[in-house]
Amino acid sequence: MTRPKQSSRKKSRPAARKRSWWSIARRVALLGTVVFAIWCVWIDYEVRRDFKALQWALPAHLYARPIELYAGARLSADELVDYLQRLGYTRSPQVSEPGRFQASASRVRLWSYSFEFWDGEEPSRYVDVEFDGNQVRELWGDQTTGQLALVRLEPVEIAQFNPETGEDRVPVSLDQVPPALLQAIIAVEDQRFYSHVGVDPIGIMRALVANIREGRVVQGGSTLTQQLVKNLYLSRDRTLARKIEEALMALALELHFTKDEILTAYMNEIFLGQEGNRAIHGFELAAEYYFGESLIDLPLDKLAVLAGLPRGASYYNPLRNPERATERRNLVLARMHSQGYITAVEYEQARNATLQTNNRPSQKGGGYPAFMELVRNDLARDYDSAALRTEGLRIFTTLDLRVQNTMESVLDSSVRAAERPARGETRDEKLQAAVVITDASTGEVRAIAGSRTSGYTGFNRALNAVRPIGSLVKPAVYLEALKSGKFNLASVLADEPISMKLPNGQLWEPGNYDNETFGDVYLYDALERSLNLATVDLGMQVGLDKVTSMLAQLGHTRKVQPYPSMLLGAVEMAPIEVAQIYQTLASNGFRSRLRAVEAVTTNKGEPLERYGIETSQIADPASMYLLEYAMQGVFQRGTAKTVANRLDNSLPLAGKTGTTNDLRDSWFAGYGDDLVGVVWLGHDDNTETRLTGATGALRVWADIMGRLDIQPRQTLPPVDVEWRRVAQYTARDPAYRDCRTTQSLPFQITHPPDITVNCEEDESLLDRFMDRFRSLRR
Amino acid sequence: MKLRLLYITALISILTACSTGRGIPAPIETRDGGEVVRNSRSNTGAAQDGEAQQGVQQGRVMPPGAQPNVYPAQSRTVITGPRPTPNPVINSNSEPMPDPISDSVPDPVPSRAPAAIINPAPQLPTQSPPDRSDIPASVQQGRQPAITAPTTPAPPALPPRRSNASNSSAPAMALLESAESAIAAGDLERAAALCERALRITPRDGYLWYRLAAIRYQQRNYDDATGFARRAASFAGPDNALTQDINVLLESAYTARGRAQ
Repeated sequence: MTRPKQSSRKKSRPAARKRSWWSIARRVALLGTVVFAIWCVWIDYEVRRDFKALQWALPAHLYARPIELYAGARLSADELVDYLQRLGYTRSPQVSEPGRFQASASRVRLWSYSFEFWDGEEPSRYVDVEFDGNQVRELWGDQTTGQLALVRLEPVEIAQFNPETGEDRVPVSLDQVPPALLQAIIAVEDQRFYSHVGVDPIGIMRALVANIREGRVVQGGSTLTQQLVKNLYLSRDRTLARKIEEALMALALELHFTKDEILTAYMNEIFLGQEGNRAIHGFELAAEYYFGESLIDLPLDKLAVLAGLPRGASYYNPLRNPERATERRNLVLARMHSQGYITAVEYEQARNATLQTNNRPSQKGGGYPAFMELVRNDLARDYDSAALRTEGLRIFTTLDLRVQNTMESVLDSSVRAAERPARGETRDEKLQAAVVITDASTGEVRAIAGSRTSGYTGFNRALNAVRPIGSLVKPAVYLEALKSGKFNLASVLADEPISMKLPNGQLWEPGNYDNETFGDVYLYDALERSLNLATVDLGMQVGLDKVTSMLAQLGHTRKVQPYPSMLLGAVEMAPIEVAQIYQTLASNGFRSRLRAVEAVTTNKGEPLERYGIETSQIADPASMYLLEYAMQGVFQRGTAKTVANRLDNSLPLAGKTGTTNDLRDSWFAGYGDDLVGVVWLGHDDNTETRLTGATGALRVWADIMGRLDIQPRQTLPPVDVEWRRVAQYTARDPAYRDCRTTQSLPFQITHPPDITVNCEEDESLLDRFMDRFRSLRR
Repeated sequence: MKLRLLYITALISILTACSTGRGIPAPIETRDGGEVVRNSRSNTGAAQDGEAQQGVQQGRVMPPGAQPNVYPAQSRTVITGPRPTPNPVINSNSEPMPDPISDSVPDPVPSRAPAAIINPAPQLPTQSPPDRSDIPASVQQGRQPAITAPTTPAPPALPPRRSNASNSSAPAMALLESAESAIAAGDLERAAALCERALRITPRDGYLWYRLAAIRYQQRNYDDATGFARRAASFAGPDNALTQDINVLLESAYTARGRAQ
């Protein structure tokens, strides 16, 4: 900066030159000082702003869907007791105050707390619930209220998290932190914490000397304040300017906030580990994560382990590196002892304790990670981020604990039973699963599994495993055909070998699953048995662009290439996207967007935002009814017949199997009156599973839905649908019509069966005579 | 005086930068004391390199196994405090409020329309956001919902209902009752929420779907009104009174939408 000025100047006498040099230097220094001062002011502002915001960052509370009690509700006494225990209610002989309950096999008496819901307050009430098996028979209140129509219990809190970042944290105040932990941290990280001003030159010098003497890094010179600052601005690069800035920030923090405030922030903010994609911040959460206990309950040796973590949360991770963690713990204890915080006896005891960690997945915040991810996505998509910045929000989700927990309890063993390990192996441990269960009429997501292991926080397959869906796409083809009015259930399709030239010049020659062909088949039969060649025949008649647009109407948001192979499922979707499509089918052609969040209120219960059910009709009820006839046939006669006896009480149900090339993915999507379920099984590396939709996913689906007691479909025929008799066997020519054996199928009045197969009595006498004649001739 | 303090601070900072900050005893080869000392003596640029070599990604030296990206890039910026927002935070209902004054559309049957439906000026459920001492008053004001004057006319009132909820289940009836009083109080979104709650209990109740449709119509959400009404129709079955109501609603929604466009 100075050089151009310098060269532009004319040469002058040495004294003058000396003076001008001096003045330039002074000006540069002045300018630098001004810039530095502005920088300082900016840093000061930044730190104050961010630190204050930090203190206000109370987590949002997430609630599962509350239980509604009413006569006829599907709920058993055991399930209610389990729910009350999750709410923290206590069993007691006298239900004398809120939070108490008393239970027998068929009767539960409880006194609920009041709760402020989005749509109003639910008062605290005494309720006497009588059960009739798995149903609520009656509800009684006290003398004044008498019989009750409806009681909504408090919702169970499933997590606390920061709605913007998805971080969950449990903030603690300083008096909730065991003094021993504070001492340990100060002893090992920053001995002069209470006397320095944010940066500690003495500490730095001492660290330097110690490091030189040891020939390696043994001590750090950063104060707790500096560590906190670093922790707050982690995403930034690590340049010298940054270092200076951090030191200045530390000074600014000390200037504006007390030591206790800084220490509290440190306790709550410091990074202490990583669990999948979830960052563990703060000691309370770390206590929960590493030891499964609350911070206040931890003994000295465990507190020392935690105090050792800020130095290197991954390096000293007690779960993964127990030896290093123990070594570090002992160093912390030694420092505490040498600085007089603990006695020799305490020191020896803690030093010799064996390191015990918590191996089960933590529940708080981590209980339903797959669902939590969906909640985060929904919040980001639907909710104004400014609204989410309000502290301590209450987020009401659609998670149904009964459905979620039942599904989780069945899933792993069911997947294990379906495994078909490779030859020479006993198990297929790679086999993974994803499950999405939604409410059949509202589109609310009731349960999600992103892995066969519950509580798994890694790759969430339910949302992110985008795989070809195989035959699950077929209902879209058939619905488009039925809707067009050119086809009905008794339309005759050709299940014959076909070869097609694709746009890229390749020849496409699809085959049926077992490489058989069946000749002329009825449309409904082709869907029930999932015949590929007949489906290609139908799809090409309907038009590929029509089918892709039907997929979009059903709720698929990504673009699908209209290649013929798409008709057989060369369309990639995540399980949640499949659930959206089957949701539309289950609600009889009314598309409602899947939702995981119902409403958001402030911490005082004041409504902020709500996203209700939305619905739009994508197909007429008659076409939907006809399609469902065939999809119920999948269970009665088709590819899902194998599990029909297991789901006896729940039939009729509707669904579809899906299998992809080389048996890589095994799918089943199906629905009853209350629930829609999608199950995917496959390997993360996309290798062969040796499972078809029917041998894999269908069984898992049946296990889960059987346990959930899925309700049978009760779809009433629309007024413009009537039943007609058609020939049992197909014919393309009236001369070959064979009405000796017939079957009854539903038809839209405006689209009756073709004359070649129609066996209804309204035909002419001559026709009947001809039929008789033909039957004699054969 | 202040300047001197700043210079001292800068000096201290540089010292800090050079003093190996947060070290771990040594799984990384490059981290030997000699190097650190040389860095601190020679120049600060080298010190930076030294730090960089140590893989300081997260405010402390992580061993090679540590994931460098454990922190999502935005994880910090988001708690950088409240910013003033032009959007109203409280927005339970994106529809503009029906305005009785701008209602230029002749009411088909004004005298017979039930009070619940032609309730003239439903209030948006407004409430103040919780007080936040960290936000200046001016910003807090900006957070108040800005109630804009509606630009489209109110939907024409519907004729009186012929159908009633007599076929609904007891819990649904109880909820419908609350919904009707919410409508009377002008809190349409709460009424919709109550209807939805009833629908979760009895999803095949055509009358509930119809009530929800009527509420959406009242909120001028004609698309959803149409969707819900069609759905109501698919559950109406032999209930002719309900079917008739639904058809009137569908027709009104259709014309209202046409006019709005």
